[in-house]
Amino acid sequence: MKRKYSYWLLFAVPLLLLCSCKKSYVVDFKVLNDSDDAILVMLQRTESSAVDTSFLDGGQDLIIHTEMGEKLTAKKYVFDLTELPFHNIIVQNVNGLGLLCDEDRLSCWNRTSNSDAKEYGSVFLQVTETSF
Amino acid sequence: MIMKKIQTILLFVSFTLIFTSCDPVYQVEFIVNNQTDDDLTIVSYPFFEQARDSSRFSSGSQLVVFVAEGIGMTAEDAYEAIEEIPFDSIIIKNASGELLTMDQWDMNNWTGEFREDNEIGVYKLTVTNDDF
Repeated sequence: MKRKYSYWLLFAVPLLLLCSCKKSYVVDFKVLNDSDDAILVMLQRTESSAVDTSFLDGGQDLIIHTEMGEKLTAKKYVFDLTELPFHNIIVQNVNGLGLLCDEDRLSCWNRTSNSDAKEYGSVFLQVTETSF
Repeated sequence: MIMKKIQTILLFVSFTLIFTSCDPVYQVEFIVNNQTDDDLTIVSYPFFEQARDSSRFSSGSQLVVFVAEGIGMTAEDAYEAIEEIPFDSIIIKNASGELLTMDQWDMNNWTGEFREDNEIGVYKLTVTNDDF
């Protein structure tokens, strides 16, 4: 009888330890300007908020938004994402040309492919000369 | 039979040598976090760069001002080895044109973090309204 209990304990203790591990995530939403020229990033966080405009030199990256939370890994958050967590985003080059891909759609954004990403992840819009 | 064994050992040793001789890659990001109520302008001239970068970014976003990357050491070693801010010059102004009163050259004002699961070192300077 005692032996039976010890077997159960052998399974239960590691299982409990695994379940009690605290999961958390930090995911950055970035615009990567991989072109040689400057770009304009116009972001409206919510429907009622003002439009924030950033002017990024060539080669610079901007973290426009960070999502943080618990009970999920970064990888799960990033790959289960169905919509962008802000209302509207517009990216233009210095000649006023917009992106060929609709930056408001999640399909234009890349997600971090690091399979080990437990805590940190990123969702990014990569802008190059050919993006306009 | 002996020849086959020697061949197997040689194959194993060669693979081990190939894998252990790979140079590790490192990446350390320097980020300015805009926690003021308005835009920030940053003019920076990182070490080893040929051109000056000038960007204006909105409240609530974070600019990746410089990414130090290379081969020959692990990301953790590179992160720990940093003793100074890798810029020849870095000017931070608020929307009214006032200069930062906080010392951006003091490493103590930059919050360091090594993200183990992404193998990235991050140094972040958080700027608020009170820093002008």
